[in-house]
Amino acid sequence: MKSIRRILVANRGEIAVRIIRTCKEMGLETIAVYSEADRCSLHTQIADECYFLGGAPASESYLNIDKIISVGREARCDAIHPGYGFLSENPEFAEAVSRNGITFVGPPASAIRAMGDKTRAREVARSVGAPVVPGFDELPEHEEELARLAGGLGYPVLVKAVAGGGGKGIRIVDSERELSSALRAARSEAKSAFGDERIYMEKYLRSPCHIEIQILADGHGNVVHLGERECSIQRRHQKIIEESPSVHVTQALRDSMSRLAVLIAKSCGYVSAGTVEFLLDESHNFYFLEVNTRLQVEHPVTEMVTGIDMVKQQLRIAQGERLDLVQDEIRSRGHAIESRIYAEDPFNSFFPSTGRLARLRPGLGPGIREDCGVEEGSEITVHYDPLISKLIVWSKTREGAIARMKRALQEYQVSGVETTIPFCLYVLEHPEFASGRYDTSFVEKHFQNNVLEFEADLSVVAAVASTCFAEWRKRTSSAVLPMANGRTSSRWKSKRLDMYEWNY
Amino acid sequence: MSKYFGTVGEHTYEMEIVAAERITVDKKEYLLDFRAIDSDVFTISLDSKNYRTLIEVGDGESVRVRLLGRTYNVHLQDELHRRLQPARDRDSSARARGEIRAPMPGLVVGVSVRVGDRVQPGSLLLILEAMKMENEIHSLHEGIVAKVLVQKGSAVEKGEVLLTFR
Repeated sequence: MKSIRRILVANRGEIAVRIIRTCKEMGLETIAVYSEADRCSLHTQIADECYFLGGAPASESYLNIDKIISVGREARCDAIHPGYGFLSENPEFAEAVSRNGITFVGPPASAIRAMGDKTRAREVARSVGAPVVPGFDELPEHEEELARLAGGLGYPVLVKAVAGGGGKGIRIVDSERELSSALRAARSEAKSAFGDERIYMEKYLRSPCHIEIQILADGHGNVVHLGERECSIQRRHQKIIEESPSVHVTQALRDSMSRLAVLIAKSCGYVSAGTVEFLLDESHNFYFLEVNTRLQVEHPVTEMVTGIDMVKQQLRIAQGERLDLVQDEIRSRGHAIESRIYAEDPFNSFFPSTGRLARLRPGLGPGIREDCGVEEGSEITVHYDPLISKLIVWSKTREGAIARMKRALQEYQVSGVETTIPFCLYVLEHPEFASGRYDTSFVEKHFQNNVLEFEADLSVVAAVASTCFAEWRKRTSSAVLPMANGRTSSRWKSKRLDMYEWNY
Repeated sequence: MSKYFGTVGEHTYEMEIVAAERITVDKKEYLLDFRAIDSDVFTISLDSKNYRTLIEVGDGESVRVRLLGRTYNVHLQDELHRRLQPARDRDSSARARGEIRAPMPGLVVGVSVRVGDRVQPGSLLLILEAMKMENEIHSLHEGIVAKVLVQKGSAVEKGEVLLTFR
């Protein structure tokens, strides 16, 4: 396989920036692509070259296979890294890249296809002895028969798109009465989202923990695992705080989950970085959920505890090298936590919050990594995922990591949009999180919309600050106007042009 | 100096800057130092405890104060505005009950009600897609739909009126 010298990153935002950074450190020439909305985005600024794709909607730019391939050919790149989201798990894209003589940094299309089909993935898992969530991969046409199967599993059940992902084409069914309408809705959503209306059914686990195992596989049959990530803190079924190691995973559990994850990777011919997801119930039974055939958003958590640069490993693997990692030498050290800072309003059902980032001042310092794809002045638009930044902390202990993350989030200042920072702080300060007694139902159990408002311990300071601000605005706005009656703003002495102080 | 009334959550603080570097809050006096670093960046010190803060003008009479990772929406009024408040309350709450506005910019992907429909608190009114996510907009009040100002496919701005009730 030819070595990679020029690499195109077919993505945007923080993940494009993160990939470009490692590529530059490896001495590669980096090529960014951008849509109409991203002309000035950070990823285009730091890449060695950048090329225009098309309009702001992803379908015209970051999801446009033909356009990306033609830019790749024009730019004479050796490899394309898809990042996460967009085309990263699209087997046709992986095939198109290879067909054009370009190396795809990721698994072979066959592995993406096998794992993208949720029922085939369940079959692979079963074949290596991994427990799967009880359910039925094929559903009967007949409604009575279907109701009998669902009743046998016991409500609630989940109906899910076989080609699913991203929370689309899924319905929770609480009783037989809802079954046929839920199935109809899931079918239609699956058809429009994935062009595949096949649905399967499984038992709905009420409040499991979400645990995933990171694996790395080379093209020579070597597979290692890099331990687990705990991703149970979710809102709208999407992860928001992740940590490693998990407080819920014993060494025995870790050993059996990771052994199965490696077997699953081997039996589907997996190459590159991948993640095997499991659900863990209260009685410590675990079930295979799915395989994500890409770099995950939360991969830095694993990088912080293992010291392994996952993007670098992906690139080495993509150019045909053997893994230079030996399982026994991979050690997880200390504790890492990631908080995702989204432009969403936690005071208002996590609705996306768009606007210009008037201020963006990260909380940094020892043991902290920030993966950010925007800068002060950047615009958060409706077109893409509203992720502003990922803050990842490391410390020797979990307590230390929680304290460090709280400190960093308290220092982090954003204005212009609402963010998930107050929500992340709420979780980190919650006794159930600190004690590790939490699962995927945390938000439902402990977080109501008004919870943030009543937590207002610094409301006196906020009230005083707003009063000072109002007075200050009166003064400064009149200071720029001609003064009446010889009154001046001298009581507000300017220290510098942009610095004012109280001075009556 | 003029008095201010700042409401955070359910509590209203009565504040008065009584002298240079002194403020009373609910009759209790504090040492105050307030400095502007920029037009939206400030440091404030209350009885020598120091805080970094970002402050912006919010909607209506609110001031948005960001402190230690938290956002406080302070409803701030001076004495004059406070005296006028009762009349304005009646007016604005009547208006707020009468319409539904877009909580964010986006694309209407479905409208679940028609003119004349009776809705309950929590009834699904329409679905707005923004940043890849479908967001359900529910009714806060009981009412009858008077006008539907958008349809499937409409692009809307934040704050745009989507529906009105009678």
